[in-house]
Amino acid sequence: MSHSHSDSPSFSHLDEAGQVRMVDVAAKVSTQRVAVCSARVSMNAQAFDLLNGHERGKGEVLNTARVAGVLAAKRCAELIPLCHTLPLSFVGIDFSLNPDTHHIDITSTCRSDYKTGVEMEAMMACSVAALTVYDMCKAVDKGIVVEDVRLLYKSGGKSGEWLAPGLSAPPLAVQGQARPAVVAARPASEAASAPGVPAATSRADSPQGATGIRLVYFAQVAELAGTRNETLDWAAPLSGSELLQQLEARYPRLAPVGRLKLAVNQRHAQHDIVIQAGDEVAVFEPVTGG
Amino acid sequence: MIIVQEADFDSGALQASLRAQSAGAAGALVTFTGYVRDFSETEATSTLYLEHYPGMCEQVLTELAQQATERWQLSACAIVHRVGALARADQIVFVGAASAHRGDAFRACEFLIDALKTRAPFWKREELASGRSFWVQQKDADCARTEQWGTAENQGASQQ
Repeated sequence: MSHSHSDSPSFSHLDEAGQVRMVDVAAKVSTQRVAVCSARVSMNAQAFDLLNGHERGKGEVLNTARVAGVLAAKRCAELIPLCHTLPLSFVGIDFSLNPDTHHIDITSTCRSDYKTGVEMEAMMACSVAALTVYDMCKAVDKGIVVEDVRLLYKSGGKSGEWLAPGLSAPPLAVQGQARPAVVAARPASEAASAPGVPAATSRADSPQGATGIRLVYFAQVAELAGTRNETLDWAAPLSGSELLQQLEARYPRLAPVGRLKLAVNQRHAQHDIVIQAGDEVAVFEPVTGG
Repeated sequence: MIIVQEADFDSGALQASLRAQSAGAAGALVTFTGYVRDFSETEATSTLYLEHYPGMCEQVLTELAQQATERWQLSACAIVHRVGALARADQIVFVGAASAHRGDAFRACEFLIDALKTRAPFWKREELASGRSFWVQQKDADCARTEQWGTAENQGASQQ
């Protein structure tokens, strides 16, 4: 075993003698950290259909799982022995339901400005959200499987960006009817087979395919998104913050940018603005003309 | 007069035009011209690239000109802003404000350039002689300057 070379892979939680240790991050600098993880909850058709068909109940289950995920991220360091306590700036949990496969896909996003990464927090968040779904559905299907818990993306710190092998961009955090999804960059077949879940904050559904939200990106936002404009599937009114959350989940490189601004129909807008079908929404960093 | 263009402008001709437009009414004309300068003392800027949001840009500039015209009784007002690739020492922006008295003209001109920097959808990318390039970040000091102008009703929507 050669763990003497500093540039070859080694277990950071084992010292030179092979003894367990906590990594000393005292000398590391704080940077903006982002991690996106996913987990899949796979249940039988009976359990899935019962949940999916229960408008109110579905929202209750998913909202409970969402809150559980946020709490779990905050307590990660208490359960994982060598995990550092760190200040979380954001924990977000999104769900996507697939009636064909009876899967609930959970995506967690964690952010922090700190000296070490937030992937453990994100892994914990989606794991516990998944277990909460299991807990609330196990009376109907004891054979529910929690699987495929993994890191999709992380950024920040010495190692920079990392994207899970096989992914060109992380999957949408939410593919739903009551919440919009960016469809331009994804095959139509995939869009059609991912009906998703209405937002737990039960909004009225709008007719599918009515009108889209036209998104335009400028300057660094366009570079990070890799596109200058695209059309968002229309579903229901959503706030500026909800739109930004979805964009950050789709384009994790945007997440560290932080202070993103919006203009709706070519007018500056606050993040609490309600975006409607047919709106043109511009996303950009603070302006720097003159 | 609101113009967003790639081409260079003639600041002398713009000044003459403002003077002609407000002949008899204006006792003072104040103009400001902004140039591409080196980003830092240690690194020379080779190119400044300006991106903008067509449509919204003109709309925001028109609103700022209207605000200034009402607030300081301007008899004429102009904002000309360039976009695209600009070289070191090139002109970027021209602002001119004509009013009966110099105090109003000075204040209007300063308001227009301050507000433009934090409201109008332009973004600058610095390309340094060393080959390094980056998007310029908005300065807190610029926001503070705009806020000092006591913010008209729709000013509040500019920044979170």
